[in-house]
Amino acid sequence: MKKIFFLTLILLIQTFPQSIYSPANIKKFADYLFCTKDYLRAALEYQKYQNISFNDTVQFKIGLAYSRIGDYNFSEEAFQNIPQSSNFYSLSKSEFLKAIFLAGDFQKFDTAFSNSGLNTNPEMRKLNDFTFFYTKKKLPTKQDFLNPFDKTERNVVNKFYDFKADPQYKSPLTAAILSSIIPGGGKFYTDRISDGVTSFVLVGLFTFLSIDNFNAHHDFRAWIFTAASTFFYAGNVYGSAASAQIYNAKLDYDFSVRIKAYLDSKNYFLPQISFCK
Amino acid sequence: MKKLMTICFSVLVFGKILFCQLTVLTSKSDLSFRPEGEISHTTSLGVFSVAPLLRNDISPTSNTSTNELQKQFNLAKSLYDKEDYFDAITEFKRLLFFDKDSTYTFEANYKIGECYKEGAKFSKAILYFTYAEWSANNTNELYNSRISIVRTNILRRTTSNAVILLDSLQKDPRFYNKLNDINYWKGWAYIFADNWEQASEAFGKISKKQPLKKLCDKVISERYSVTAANILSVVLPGAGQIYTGNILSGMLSFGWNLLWGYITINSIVENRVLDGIFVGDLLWLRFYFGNLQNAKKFAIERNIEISNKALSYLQYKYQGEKP
Repeated sequence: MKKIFFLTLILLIQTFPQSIYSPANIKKFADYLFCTKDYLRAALEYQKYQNISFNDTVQFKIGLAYSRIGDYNFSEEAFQNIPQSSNFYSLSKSEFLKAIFLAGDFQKFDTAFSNSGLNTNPEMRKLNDFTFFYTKKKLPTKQDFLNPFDKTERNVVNKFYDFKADPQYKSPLTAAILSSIIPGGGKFYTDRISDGVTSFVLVGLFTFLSIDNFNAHHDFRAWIFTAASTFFYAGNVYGSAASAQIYNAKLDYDFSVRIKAYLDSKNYFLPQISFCK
Repeated sequence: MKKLMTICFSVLVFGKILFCQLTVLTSKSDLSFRPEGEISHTTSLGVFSVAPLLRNDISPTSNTSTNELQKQFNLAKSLYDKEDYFDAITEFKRLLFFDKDSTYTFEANYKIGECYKEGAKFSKAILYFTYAEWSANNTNELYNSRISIVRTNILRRTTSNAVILLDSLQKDPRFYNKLNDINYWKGWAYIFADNWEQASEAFGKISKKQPLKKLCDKVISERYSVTAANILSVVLPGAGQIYTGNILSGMLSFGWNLLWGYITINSIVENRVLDGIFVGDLLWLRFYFGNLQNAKKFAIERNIEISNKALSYLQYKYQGEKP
């Protein structure tokens, strides 16, 4: 009799309806949202849960959720609120630095990195090294720079370092001067060979036609050809300077794309954590 | 016996309260991730045996009463009615999550789709309308979900998808009584595809006096022919521009072509053939082909203006059903 009574009691407790808004259910729902990548709603649900009962994992997930939707201010705030006693404390500091890095506030990153106590953490030192690529800070020596990276990483990072140390930019002034001396010269200098040939031929041709027409006393046509050759000449000088600027912008763009792809592939030197099955 | 019943009731109530409390307290730290060994800061109750229930198992474990689900549906619906679409989506998703018997699967998915559509998140809207389609309980719900997918595709400007879906609906014997409706949305799809002729045809299948057919016919009559503009400019430089109402541009184009044409011919007449070839090739032809491109561009631009005017009317003044 007693056994039946307790068995019934246990079954009743298990099947007793639990509110949708009970803390446990809020958390379960937030976990579901997090795992279906609905990060903003997940973060808001986790915050509801935190208002009832603090959980360091949930707090960490709030930070991650905000980071994944690019809301870095909230992400930083969430990571900062993880208590020192938590298992996530050290990881949250790294994630905090990553959020600042992604927000592009490298001045803040420097301060946070110095104060984080992660100066000796090799992974965070790697991330710190990458801030040099985004700023105008003076690069350290190559040996110091590459020190935190392992052998496989060094090959790639070495190339990034070399580019940053000497980006092989083209000078717009040099391009303009070259084009003013030899039409199309500046375009050759900025690797635009076909544009260079076109400029050279057009300016040369119209100059020849204008001289030839002046010599033949066809003044009207001569002036038209002079105007055309002057127009092409000026366009060639201006175009060469612009071409150098475009060349440099392309170098910078390609560099930033390669860095971003590399950092993404390395998850910004942080461990990959999966909270979802 | 009475004593036993009282004890049973008390234990049941306190058991439930205790269960809920422990659920909160034991979730102080999620045990699913332990990068640095055991978690040390949990409460003294952290080792209680219900803790594993809170690990990464994200399916609802407790039964939710029908009444509570109904309340949740009403809450979500009221948020939707108040146009608070973000919160409405959250509450409909919560309803879906706890609705283990799938009682509200169609309604919730359909409403989530509507909310995303209102927020211009068309791809997500289509996804949820598709979920609704899968969980439709009858032909009417199935039809409504598919038409919602069509309408969202129209707004997303993936009109070819909309037309394909409408064609499949048209061929489905279950929807033979909806042919007018299908043609109506087909007309809208063609309008958004800037194909006013086919739009007019689709509306015409409903009725010759369909107001949108009249609108389409008006647009067709107002539009400029790109081919005509091009041919006019081939024959007389600048004429295509003038045809599309760009008189100044047409006159300038005519002037430039006249000047370079004269110099080219004059050079050849004066035995300066090289001059003639270069002026003709590098200047006259440049302006001549520029004139052709301009005529085409202006005709297209004017047609876009006419279409936009009609679309603006549909958006702000048209009283009928819209995508």
